[in-house]
Amino acid sequence: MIQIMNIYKYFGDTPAVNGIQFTVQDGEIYGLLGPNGSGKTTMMKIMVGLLPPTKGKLLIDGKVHNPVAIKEMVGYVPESPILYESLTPYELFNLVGKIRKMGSHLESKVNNLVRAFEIEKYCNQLVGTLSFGTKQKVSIITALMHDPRILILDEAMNGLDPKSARILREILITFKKEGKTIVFSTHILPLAEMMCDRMGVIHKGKLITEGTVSQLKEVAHEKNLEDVFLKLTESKKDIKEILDAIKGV
Amino acid sequence: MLDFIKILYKELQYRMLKQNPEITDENLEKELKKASNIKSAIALGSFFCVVPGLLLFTTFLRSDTINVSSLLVSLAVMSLLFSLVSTATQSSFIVVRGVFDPLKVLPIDHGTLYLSGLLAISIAPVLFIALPGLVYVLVKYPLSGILATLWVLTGIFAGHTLGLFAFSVVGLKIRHKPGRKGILGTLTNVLAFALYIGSFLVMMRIANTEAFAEFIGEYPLVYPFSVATVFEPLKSTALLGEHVIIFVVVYVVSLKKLWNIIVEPQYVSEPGGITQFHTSLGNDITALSVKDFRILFKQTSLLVGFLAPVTSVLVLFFIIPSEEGFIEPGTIIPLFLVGIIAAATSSVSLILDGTSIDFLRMLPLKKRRFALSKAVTVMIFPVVFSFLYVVFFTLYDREVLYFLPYAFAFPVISSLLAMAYYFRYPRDEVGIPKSSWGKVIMLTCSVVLLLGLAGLPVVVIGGLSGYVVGYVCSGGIILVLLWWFMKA
Repeated sequence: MIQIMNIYKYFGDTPAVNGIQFTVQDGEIYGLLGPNGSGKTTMMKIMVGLLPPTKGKLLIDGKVHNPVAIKEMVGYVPESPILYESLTPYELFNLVGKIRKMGSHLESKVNNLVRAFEIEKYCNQLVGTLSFGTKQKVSIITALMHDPRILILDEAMNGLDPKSARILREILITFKKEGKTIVFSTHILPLAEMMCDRMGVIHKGKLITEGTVSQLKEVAHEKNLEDVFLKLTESKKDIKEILDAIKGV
Repeated sequence: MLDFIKILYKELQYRMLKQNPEITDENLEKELKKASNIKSAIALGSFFCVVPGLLLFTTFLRSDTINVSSLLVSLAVMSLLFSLVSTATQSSFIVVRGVFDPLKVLPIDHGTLYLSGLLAISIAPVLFIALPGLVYVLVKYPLSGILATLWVLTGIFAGHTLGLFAFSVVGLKIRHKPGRKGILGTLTNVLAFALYIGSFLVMMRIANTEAFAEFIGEYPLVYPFSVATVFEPLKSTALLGEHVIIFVVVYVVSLKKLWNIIVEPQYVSEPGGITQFHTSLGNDITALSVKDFRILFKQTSLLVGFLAPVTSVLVLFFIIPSEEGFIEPGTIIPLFLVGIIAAATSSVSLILDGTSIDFLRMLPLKKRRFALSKAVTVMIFPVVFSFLYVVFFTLYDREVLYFLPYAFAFPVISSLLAMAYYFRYPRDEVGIPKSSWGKVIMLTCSVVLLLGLAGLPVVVIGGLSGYVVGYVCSGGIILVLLWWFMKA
């Protein structure tokens, strides 16, 4: 279980996260929604132990952990793949496996995931020569290979072909069934609707609402998630004004 | 142009600060303002360069015109060398940090001109090494002094040009050719570069001898010997013009070639076919160090930067024993120097990861484990070089074998101390601590002190007991340093 307790994050004087509080239970898929620049990625980086919060606490199973301990428990896929471009995927997996002290089951885990995402023929090429989608698959494998009990995915479906996206979805469902905790952000609202048990909407660094899809629809008095999202983030009116302005041009 | 260089310099500093774990998100802006001040960066670099310049100045005081000519050749070589090594290594660091990536999509023909401008900030201080000597010549022989100044400036420009040329030829290819062939190609490039630098060092070493003065007289057309013509103004001016024209042409050609390569990096990759994944032997530290060497061997320019400091003292391996004979102090000096220089390569090892350091930050990696892996990376080549040195000279004198433990101990102490020094910041976060002139000087002093402690018993006590005490001291120092790395 992850508990986000009144977390603030400032970059200089600028607040990126402004007193956010929510809980994600074991065996739950929690979606973080929000417009660009709302603070989702910063929030996720805090959850992964990449950024220290300016104020507030992050509890995992009721305890505060140091960043290294958090990273041992978590698998993280950043919004764009950060990898060693002059290594091959196999060299990279070996490095990750050694740092995570994976031991004997490293080989079978990696080989299974490589087969699942169908990247066998790219595994002896430099990462720098791979397409964005293949890099994203490599990034996902590095996050999944140690069988993490918490998975944080920041727009992980970016660049994936439909088949790989489906495989990732199935993997997430399996993880959920195994009682693991999953937090993911996406701009693909139908995907969020399909996958998430609950979701929170972040806007201007604050969690403006959270709940199940039906609860959000009820709060916003809207029938589909896109309208809920636009209404809650006060974007609906903006869109109308912008479209009118474009017509005027 | 200047505004653009300022922006790029600020961007470079920003990217370095973002990777520096000593900088928090809260004080980033303040630190960035301080770090992006170009004037203070040049002033600080110049201050540190003027000190050795003043030491060189004293040699000018007791010299006649023939010796002044030889000394000016030394200054010219030194300026060229500093500028060459600085350009060849710094350019890869700048490009690896991705500073030019946003420019790639813009309609710019010669973006490398900005790279050249950026490098000028770190190269400019070298003039201050030569300055005290040049001032002496300017005051005593004004016309020759002006020519000498122009020659030194030409030397700096030539070094910069040759550095860019070397970078464009061997530097930017990212190779991945399975098998020995690729590694051999990379090593050949690096050795060629090291020999090139070594030839200048040999010149510097013998520049003050009378035999060299005669030698210079026979080859006045070739830089740096042509610098000795400053007392023949007409001849010197003509030669200067000739050299400037040649280097300007090479400069323009190199810039153009380099920009094309930056826009489209050359990946020399031959897929190794479909294979199963197999894990390797070793632990996280060896895996991280192997990763460093993989990057080094695939990106030749980084290997050049990594090996340049160590290869630059290799020439002493042959000069010192042949001059001093195999007496103890003479034999230990090259080992001692390699140990000191090993610390200098530590700053190069820190930037190998480039922007990919963020990948390691996502993993449960402790700072001290990462630092230890970097120390391993740094110590390998110096240990191998020192080991070969001892083995080679043991063929001439078996007593040299007594120094074998030092071939291991000096680089190990030096690299462990360097990493403990860089990674002593309080947070347990993996990152790239920033190196600075002040830090390098402090580190060098500490390394000299510790290596002195380890090696002094051999010289002071002498005999077998001297060696035993020396080995025990070395072992003790290594254990204390390792204890720091193993601490939780």
